[in-house]
Amino acid sequence: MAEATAAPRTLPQILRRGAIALVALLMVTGILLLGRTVRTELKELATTGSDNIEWSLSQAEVEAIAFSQEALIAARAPSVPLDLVRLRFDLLYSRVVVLQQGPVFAAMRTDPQVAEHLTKVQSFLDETATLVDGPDAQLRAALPRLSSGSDAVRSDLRDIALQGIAHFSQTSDTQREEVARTLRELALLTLGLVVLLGVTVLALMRLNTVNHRVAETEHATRARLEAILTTALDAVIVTDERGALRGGNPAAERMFGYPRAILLTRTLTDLMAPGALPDGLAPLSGCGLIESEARHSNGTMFPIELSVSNATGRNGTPICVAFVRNIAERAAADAALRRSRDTALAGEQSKAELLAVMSHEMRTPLNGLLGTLDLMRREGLNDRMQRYAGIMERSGQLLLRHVEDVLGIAQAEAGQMAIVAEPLDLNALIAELVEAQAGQAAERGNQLNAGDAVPALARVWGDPLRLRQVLLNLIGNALKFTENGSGTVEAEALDDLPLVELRVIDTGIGITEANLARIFEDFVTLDASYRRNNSGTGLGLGIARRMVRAMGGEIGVESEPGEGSLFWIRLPLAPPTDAGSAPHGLRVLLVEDNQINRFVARGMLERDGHTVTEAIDGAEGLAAAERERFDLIVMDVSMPHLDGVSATRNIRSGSGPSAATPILGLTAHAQPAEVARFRAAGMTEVLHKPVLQGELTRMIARALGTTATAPGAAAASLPTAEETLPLIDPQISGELRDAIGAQSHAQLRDALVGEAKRFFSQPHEDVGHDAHRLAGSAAVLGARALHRHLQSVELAAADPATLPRSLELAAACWKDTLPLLLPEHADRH
Amino acid sequence: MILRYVMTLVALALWPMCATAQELAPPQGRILLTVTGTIGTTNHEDAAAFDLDMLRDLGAETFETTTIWTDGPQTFEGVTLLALLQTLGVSDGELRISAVNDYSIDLPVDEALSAGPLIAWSRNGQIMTLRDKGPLWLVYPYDADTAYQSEVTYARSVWQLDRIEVLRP
Repeated sequence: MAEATAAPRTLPQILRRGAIALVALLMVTGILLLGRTVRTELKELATTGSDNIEWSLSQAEVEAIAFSQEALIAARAPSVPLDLVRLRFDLLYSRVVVLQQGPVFAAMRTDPQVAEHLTKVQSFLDETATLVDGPDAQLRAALPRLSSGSDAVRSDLRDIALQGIAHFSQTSDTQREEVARTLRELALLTLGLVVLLGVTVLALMRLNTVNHRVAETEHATRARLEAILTTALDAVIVTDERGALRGGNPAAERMFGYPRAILLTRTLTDLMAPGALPDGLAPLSGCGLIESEARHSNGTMFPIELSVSNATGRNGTPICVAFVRNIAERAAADAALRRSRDTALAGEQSKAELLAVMSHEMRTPLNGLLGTLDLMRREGLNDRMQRYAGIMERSGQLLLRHVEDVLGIAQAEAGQMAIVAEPLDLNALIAELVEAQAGQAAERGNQLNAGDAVPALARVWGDPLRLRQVLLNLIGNALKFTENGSGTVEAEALDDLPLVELRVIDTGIGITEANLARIFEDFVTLDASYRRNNSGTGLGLGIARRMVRAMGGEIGVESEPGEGSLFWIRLPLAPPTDAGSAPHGLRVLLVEDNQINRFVARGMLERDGHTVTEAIDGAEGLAAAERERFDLIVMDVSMPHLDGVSATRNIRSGSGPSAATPILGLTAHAQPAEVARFRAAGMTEVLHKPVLQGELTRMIARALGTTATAPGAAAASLPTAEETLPLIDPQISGELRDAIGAQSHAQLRDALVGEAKRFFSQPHEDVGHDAHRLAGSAAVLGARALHRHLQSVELAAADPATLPRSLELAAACWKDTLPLLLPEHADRH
Repeated sequence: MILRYVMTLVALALWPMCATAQELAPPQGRILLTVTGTIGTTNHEDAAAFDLDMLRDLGAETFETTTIWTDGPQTFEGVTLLALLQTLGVSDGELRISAVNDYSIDLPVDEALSAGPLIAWSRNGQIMTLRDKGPLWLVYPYDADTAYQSEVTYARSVWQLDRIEVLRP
């Protein structure tokens, strides 16, 4: 794994190398010089320029003595032949010739004393030679003289020998000194070489120590690294720039199912699912965690998470190192969690729906009972029976109110609280309410007043029915907890028109701080300590809050115990943007089993100028569509006998005049999978309940394909529809947490963050599909504004003109939503 | 040096053919050299005596060299010691070589079996007299090989040579 790099040479390294080379050169030169000197010396010692000089010097004198004796002997015995005298002379002569002519004695001969002696000897020899070479008589006569003469020559030769010995011993001393000097020089040179060698050895030893230490460190580092990689749970793979595998740890062998030897013959493509990581690893460096899909050697695919970093390998080639984690289990856990969450939410929904149906079914027979009782009291009943009937009627009325309360809650829970916005005069509405309640106020000595009329509020856009219900509830509460005091209802336009604040103020007993927090919760009654019996379900303020929220507003309270309370409502009551581009005068078939919904929808459709034909269930709707040609069909999904999905399928598959008519589905089901099913059945668009006027208008335009001609209208209508939605609905979020636990909730929240980050940062293959998926996740966690924006993106997916704007708005909304989803904030909920 | 070895080898190769001593005629002129001792042939009492012509007949050789006793290059003419020993059938033992003044040295025959040393009778074309280191001079080609420039060789360079005794164990 560890890769050595070829480091460039540094200046000190170059200098060191130069010094070593210089030392080596010096050493070689020294050795050569030494060799040459030694060779010369050896050559001089091997040869010599002379034989035994002392022998030659002394031998001359010896021959002179021999000649002298021979001459003396011959002189005394005249009968003895002279051959021996002549022989001795010749020998003496040849000896002197050696001294006279031998190159060895040349230096010695320059000595003046030696030269003088030699001259004397030579003259004697020359003189004697004549006699020796002459006749015997002359020689014999000269013998005594020759003998004494040779004695003189002997003494000369002795002096020459002594001089010569002095001369040659001096020469020999000089020679020895020269040899000694050479040897000293040799010794010095050798010492120098030894020192040089020593220094070199030390340097090499030091170099060796350093190298050894570096090698040890590298070895330790490598061992540690390998231990880490071997024991790592995550797979680590190393590839070259072309994706060929260069290394892998045991975890990688296990994860991809290849023995090491085979793993190293694979490429990245072999390890990844087809099409995954098409550009290889290198571009992913520094991108953090990336999710992808990998392939096991047995062909199974599994999801992975990987992080990549680029590095430089041997010889400077680029390599990629990837840490890979198998997230199959995590992905499976996420999916399971999502399923259980969907199931739980669907269960909650159906429970609420059941409650709504039950309440609805209870109200009908109760109405029958009360109506009949009313009829009965008009018959001639006696007083006692009249009294009993009165009790029954009051009890019945009470029961009816309770049932309606429950129904109101249930409808809100089931998402069926229909809000019908229309132009209204808020001043008049308040005045009318105050007037109607004045009588009831007087019962407890209270006075009820309306605030000053505000001109700007004379024409606002809202649901008068719901407004009246909420205000009545608040006024009723105010009067109930006030005696001999006053109540005031006033309205104010905040920051221009969009936002209107309505206030109901009383001078009653007030509410303690502890109670303020829970006053809007269901089934809360505060009259336990109050002496009067204020019967009620405790649902009033809970319903009021749901209604206000359904209208896109907020409700709150401020109070001082003993001094009074102030309930306020803030609502967006701006008139809708002009839907001029929306189509008018369509023939619409409205298929809806719920009477109220049908009523509401009809009202909205008629307000847009359409002609409405009603059908109360799927079968009736199908029959109408077969019979007549409509421009648009609005189809509820959940209906008895034949539901909206089946009806749609039948209309589409039939050959009736409306078989190709756009169908707008209405559903309370927010599940993306469901919506996809509706579309598959043939619905052109799907609208979620509760239905809002603006949205219905826009959807109709979309369904008929007219938005393309006026995209501005649709885009402009988006903010007004969505401004009022909370970024995070604490109720939805809270209920989800209660249902699945805080930990799972946190995981879901993180999953949403991750999913959304990817959605807004990566390119899409099918933006509609992706937006749809994310919208589902957002809705589940109560990110309502984001949910709505993403739905808009999904709707705009097919429309290149509006898609960028929709995505922009969704991204902006996500930017606002994200901080609320971060753990430090989210956990405070 | 190499030349010496080669010549030695040649000599050794030729040795068996010459090992047997030749018959020697008695000397006619003045006797220059007397060889005594264990020799294969004699012509004068118990010795082999040679005059100048007899030596010449053994095969005259010439070389030029400087010596430490003379001035400048010298041309020597003589017979090789090797040729003399072959004539006398001497192949081992020692030679005791003596001069007129009784100077003498011992030379192992092994070391004489090279073509180098010459028993010279003439120097620079002149017959050598007793006064001029004659009548015979055992000279080596000192310039041809530095090995000859040693005191041992100088000591063996016997001049005024007149006797050789062959000693055999």
